[in-house]
Amino acid sequence: MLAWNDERKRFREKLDKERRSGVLALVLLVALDRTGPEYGYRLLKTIEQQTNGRIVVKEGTAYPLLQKLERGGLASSYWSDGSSGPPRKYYQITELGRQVAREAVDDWRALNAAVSKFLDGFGR
Amino acid sequence: MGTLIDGYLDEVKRSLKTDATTRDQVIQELRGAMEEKLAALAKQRPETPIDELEKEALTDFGSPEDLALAYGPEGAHLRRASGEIALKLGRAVGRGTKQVIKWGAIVGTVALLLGIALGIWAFYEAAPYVEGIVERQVYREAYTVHEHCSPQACDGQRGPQSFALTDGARQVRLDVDIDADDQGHAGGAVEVLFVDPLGETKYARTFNVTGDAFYREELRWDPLAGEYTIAFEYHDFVGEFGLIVSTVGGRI
Repeated sequence: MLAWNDERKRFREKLDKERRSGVLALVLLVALDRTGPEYGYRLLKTIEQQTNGRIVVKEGTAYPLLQKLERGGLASSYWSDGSSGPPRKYYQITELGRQVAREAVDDWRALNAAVSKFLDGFGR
Repeated sequence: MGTLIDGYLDEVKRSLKTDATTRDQVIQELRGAMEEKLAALAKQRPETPIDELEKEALTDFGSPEDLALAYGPEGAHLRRASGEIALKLGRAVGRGTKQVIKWGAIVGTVALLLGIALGIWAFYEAAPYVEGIVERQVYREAYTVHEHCSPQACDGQRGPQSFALTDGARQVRLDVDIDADDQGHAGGAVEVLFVDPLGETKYARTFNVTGDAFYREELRWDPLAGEYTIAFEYHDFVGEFGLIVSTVGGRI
């Protein structure tokens, strides 16, 4: 019993990390698709503004995740020349990233619809 | 550039496990982000001292060690700024760069989709998690114990057991898990004692057992390297007892 509880807790913690990472990856990809090439700070501000503050991605999470998206081929990056300020690293979504995001959003909508239907009437 | 930000980035740089080019690019990107955030804060609150604004600007980046860890040792495998991914595929390596990138992208996509699928499943029931994402704490397990006390009760002290931290942990998490035995019996008490290298008791608690229970304690103090000891004492305890000690920071 205890070993299962132990595994359950560890799995929950792992799942906790995975689900945040997975959701945020999708949020960042969709944001990049909407904004076009953008650097990290402004991308996060855009997400915050467009969701009326409901999604606030902290920098300590976002920057490593952007790098992982790039390593995975879902985003690419380039450095600005810094003529009007310090050089900035701009990210843009790749075609692969767009494809993955499209599929993930479709899955999300299907899941959302299924869960909504399942929950319908609960608590009334 | 502020002193706090410089110091923070120096620590990140020390902790990053990547090649030099990637490391410099990471630091440059982070520095740009911090400068911009600091400038925005200074514009909103021009009368606030700069060091206070710096602290605030750094808050959402988390600790330098955790930030460096989040970039991961995989950062060392970043071959080029163009994002080319090189994977060891055995015979497939010989098929050429295009195939390598294709398979790399497929593997990466599957892994990401799995992560996204899990995220999507949990997101609907846990939307509040997305609001105000808290910084992730990376815990490492330092010590675990699991004992089964049934049908005979356990009585008496176990330990002290010890584990050493070479650099000192900033934060320690104690997870205590108490379960009834297979027949549903649970009773008695368990006392847990956690002592730092200087012999100071950091945690002492007695759990009176009435059934399944889970307790988590987060302990913080100034990092202290050395040998920590943990002991627990049973008082006619029946059931199953588990303890996990995890640390943030420090090397085990």
